[in-house]
Amino acid sequence: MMTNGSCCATGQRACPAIGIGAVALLALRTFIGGVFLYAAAVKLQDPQQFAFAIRAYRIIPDDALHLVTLGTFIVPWVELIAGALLVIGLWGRASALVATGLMAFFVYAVWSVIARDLSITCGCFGKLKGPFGCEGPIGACKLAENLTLLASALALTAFGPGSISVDSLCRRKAC
Amino acid sequence: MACVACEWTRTPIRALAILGIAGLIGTAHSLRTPIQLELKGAAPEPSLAPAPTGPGQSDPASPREETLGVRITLDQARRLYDSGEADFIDAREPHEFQPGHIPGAYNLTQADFLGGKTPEALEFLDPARRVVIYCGGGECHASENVAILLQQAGFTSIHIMEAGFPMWVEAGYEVEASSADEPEGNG
Repeated sequence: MMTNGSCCATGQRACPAIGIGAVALLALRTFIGGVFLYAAAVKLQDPQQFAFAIRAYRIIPDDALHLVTLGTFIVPWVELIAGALLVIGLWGRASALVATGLMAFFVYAVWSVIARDLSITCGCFGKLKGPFGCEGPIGACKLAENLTLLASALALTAFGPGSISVDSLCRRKAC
Repeated sequence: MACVACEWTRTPIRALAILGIAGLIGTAHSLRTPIQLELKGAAPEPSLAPAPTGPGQSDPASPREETLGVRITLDQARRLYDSGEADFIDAREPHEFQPGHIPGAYNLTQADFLGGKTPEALEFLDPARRVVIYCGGGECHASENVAILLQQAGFTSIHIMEAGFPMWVEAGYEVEASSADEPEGNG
């Protein structure tokens, strides 16, 4: 529990109550941020494999391979920055909005793979499983996993990072 | 009280800033780290000289007589198989490989190269020899991806059997199965 001495004693802002909601938002942020950080680390460690994974989705045409190259490096950096910001709760809503956009795109990609009956693996977490432990080619499990992450990111965008965050600390200190 | 309207105004601007920063770093990273998305050129032909079977004659069935590109037909792959000139690599997933594959083929998927690792099967393969890679046929990209990874590992004579394993089976050629606890390469 935060004591009054850490913020309210300054007389600038009222100290927000740290209730179960704030703890839930912290847990949600840590969960999504952690998943993003891990996924980014796997992709940045082996960009060649991620490039293959992007091609396997067959969303980008073969005559636009430069987009595959850009996606190979930009997507993990978006995940890394958004994930780090989510974990610490800085620019919480904005990073949650970015996570929402990214997850919406991933949901579309997974849905399109299922709709086209492609037999490919996700390429999201290297050889390890995601939070749902989905195995094998992309299917309903991966879609459910991505929809859960999308819903979580959307909730964070709506509710913000909560009172246990750098954003909240900054507001209290008017930084 | 925090300015709620300000918060919602700042959010999209900050989100764009995150995307912009990631875009800049990602673009810079892409310029510094080469990745390969397509096979480099045609496979060199180290053994193109006709293999004469007699004075002034050559065996018309020998694959040495023809120029083999990266992508080869089922017949060309079969001739390489019969002549023993090439090692065969099955780029399908282990659960697809185990029930049936070309006899002597090694199971090597792109996942075996994850994290820049050298797959165990490469210890049994000679980079100077021809390798023929196949997967499930049709539009499967697995052969091409493994071919690129083998090029990066120093293999120079790489061919892809475009017909894939289903056409090999359809042609009535030999197939063997292996159990899960057998080594993935049995060539």
